[in-house]
Amino acid sequence: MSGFWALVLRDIKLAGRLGGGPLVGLAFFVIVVTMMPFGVGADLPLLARIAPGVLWVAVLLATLLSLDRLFQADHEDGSLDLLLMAPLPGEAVVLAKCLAHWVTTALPLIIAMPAVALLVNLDIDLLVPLAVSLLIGTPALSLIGAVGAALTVGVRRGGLVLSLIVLPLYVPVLIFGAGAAEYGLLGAPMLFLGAFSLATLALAPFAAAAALRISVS
Amino acid sequence: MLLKVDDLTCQRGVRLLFDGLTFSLARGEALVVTGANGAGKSSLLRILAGLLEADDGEILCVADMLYSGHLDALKPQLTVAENLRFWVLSFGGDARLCEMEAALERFGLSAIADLPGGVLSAGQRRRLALARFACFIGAKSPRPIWLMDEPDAALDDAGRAALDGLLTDHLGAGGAVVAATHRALDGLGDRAKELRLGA
Repeated sequence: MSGFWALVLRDIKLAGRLGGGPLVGLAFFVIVVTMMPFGVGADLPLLARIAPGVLWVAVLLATLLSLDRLFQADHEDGSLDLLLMAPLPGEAVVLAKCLAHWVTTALPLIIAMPAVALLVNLDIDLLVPLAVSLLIGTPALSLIGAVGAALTVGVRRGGLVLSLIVLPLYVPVLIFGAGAAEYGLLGAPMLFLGAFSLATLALAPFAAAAALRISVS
Repeated sequence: MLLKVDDLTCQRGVRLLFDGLTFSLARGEALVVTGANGAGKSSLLRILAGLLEADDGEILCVADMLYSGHLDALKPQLTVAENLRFWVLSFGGDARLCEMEAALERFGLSAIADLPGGVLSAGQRRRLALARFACFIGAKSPRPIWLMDEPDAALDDAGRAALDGLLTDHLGAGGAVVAATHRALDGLGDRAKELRLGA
């Protein structure tokens, strides 16, 4: 097994053993979506209209929850030092950790989304495009988040700073993601979302790895 | 020659830790870095490991390194065996079961191989960190240069004896060691050179 997959599997294992791990994000996602009808009221057409945006915002916030620990735990116990001097390049370390973060955080949300979508009266025809937009867009959330997490890894109570750095960068994902559900699988927003995700895949590992190297030195 | 350091300078803030540091390390040789707290021992090791930038100087290294700092880099949620296996795999070592069992046996950790890292004492954690090195013994291993920051911290007599045996075996097999320590490490033998920082 290569160092890359060893790291991915280790992080997935750790998330599963961290007292609930992925379930916390899932519970947060369900609660946020459940609260929406209480705030908006029992206006079903209105709920159906805003449902894709509501679900995307809830996914985005649930993903943000666990981001501050992406590198923090490794920094605190000295693992980050060893990871950065292992044969695996720093960029691949970031990519492996993002993949594990996506599998343990975003994937459970996407699987649960069809059931949760009933709470906000999502049009059944939008279910597949929305699920696809989440599959395409959520990796960008982990990758952008990794840059913020790397920048704040040595900062006390860095979670707040991380949110301030990352949330503005999430705006394009949110706009294209929510739009993609309405314009269908081959609509312009879905294509832009795919392009944005690929761009973050190409750039974010380099930025995050550079930030990590600065943080440990 | 495995490692050559030439005219190395390190400044932290306004404090000059060391200046013009020059040494070399051949196969089977060890360098013991000594000095008071804050003298720059850990900084030197981190520079050699590539984790910290030197202000000046050159490092020529013809083999890969294995580093252990003050922190043990162990996950409390993973078992002793899982922790060891992860790092051995990450550093391209031999992760066969027999090799890992031998490494755990050497440091008296076989009986607790299935316990989570979170229940280990400080001494056991240090033993587990050292067990990583036991999978990279000798010049032919993927990591023949060992950088060890206070490797004997928190160890009892049996742990120190295991560490001495490990160092002796590694040097005997042509590996090299740079160790920062406050106490003499018997396992480094007579060929160990001393570098005193802050003197």
